[in-house]
Amino acid sequence: MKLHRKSVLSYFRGTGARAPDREGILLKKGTRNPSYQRRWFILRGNLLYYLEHQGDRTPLGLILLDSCRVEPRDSTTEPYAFVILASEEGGRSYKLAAEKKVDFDGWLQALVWAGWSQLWELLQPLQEQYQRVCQEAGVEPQAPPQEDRFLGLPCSPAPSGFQELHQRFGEEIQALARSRATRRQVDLMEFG
Amino acid sequence: MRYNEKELQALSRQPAEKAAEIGMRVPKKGSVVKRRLVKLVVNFLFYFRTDEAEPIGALLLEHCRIAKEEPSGFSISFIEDPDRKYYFECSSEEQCQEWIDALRRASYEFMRRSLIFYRNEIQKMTGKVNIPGKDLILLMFLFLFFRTPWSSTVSLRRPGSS
Repeated sequence: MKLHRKSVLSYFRGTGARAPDREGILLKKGTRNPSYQRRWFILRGNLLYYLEHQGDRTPLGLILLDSCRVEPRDSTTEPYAFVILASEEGGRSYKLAAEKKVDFDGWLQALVWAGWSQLWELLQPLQEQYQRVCQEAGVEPQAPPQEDRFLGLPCSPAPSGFQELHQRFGEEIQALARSRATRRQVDLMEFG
Repeated sequence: MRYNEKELQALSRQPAEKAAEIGMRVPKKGSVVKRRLVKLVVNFLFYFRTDEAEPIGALLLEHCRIAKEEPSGFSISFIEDPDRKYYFECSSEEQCQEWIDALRRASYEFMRRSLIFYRNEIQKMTGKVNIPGKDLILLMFLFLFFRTPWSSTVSLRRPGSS
């Protein structure tokens, strides 16, 4: 099957200064070579790209997160190890490890919730609520903007108040995510 | 750039948002319109020969432009390469418009923008965002919301009681 590379690369490179959802170093176990290699990982939407070096223009590889599940794993050498498993029999598994606990927590959280379906499930009730609110207000519902630039906002770091909020919500999400561990097939009890 | 063929195949077998037999022409010199089974799964468009189980190809529907083409057709092109277009011929104007809408809605980035848009609009109209009952949804929304760089200028208010 031909995966049209230009479409995938175009998304990877992003438009303008739009930052990816998460990026950083992860250790990746080779397929033929059992040792870990340091790779730069970039999460954008539901796609996980990995590069040989940060700043490379073309990724080494791509992982389709909607076909996989993410789980912590035991490793003899790495304390912060996890695996991205293809959901199909005989599919490939990506053995990864973070270098620090904070990265481990952050990546697992990001990857578990990166699927397209998760976003869709969040969007539906909000869309319904919007239409209800419009109806109540006697206003015609509008379609969301097609283009990125409607917001016209700079992609600069947020003020410190937002960082605290982010941290707090992150913790609350982890707590809630833990309670959904069985449904999600991810044993989140081991982290966070 | 490496990827796992099995992951892509697995994705192509997931339930489709939309699937139909449509005429398709790829942006290659001398290519002609061919009848293909076209299947939309998450933000990928797969296309198959009508009698085959495995797709011939897949397009990621991000950073792309989906435009109406006369008559009763549409095209997909990518921002980095706007002149190379994938053409699709539908059997009716209605089918064509349905596909254009579905393909646009399938983009992850479009869904993300929509989330922010709805949230902002709801807050403007009601002064609060009230997502009844679903604490997890609210928190996940906020988590996803804060992943994007635009969130910094939108003030956060605790929602009213649900």
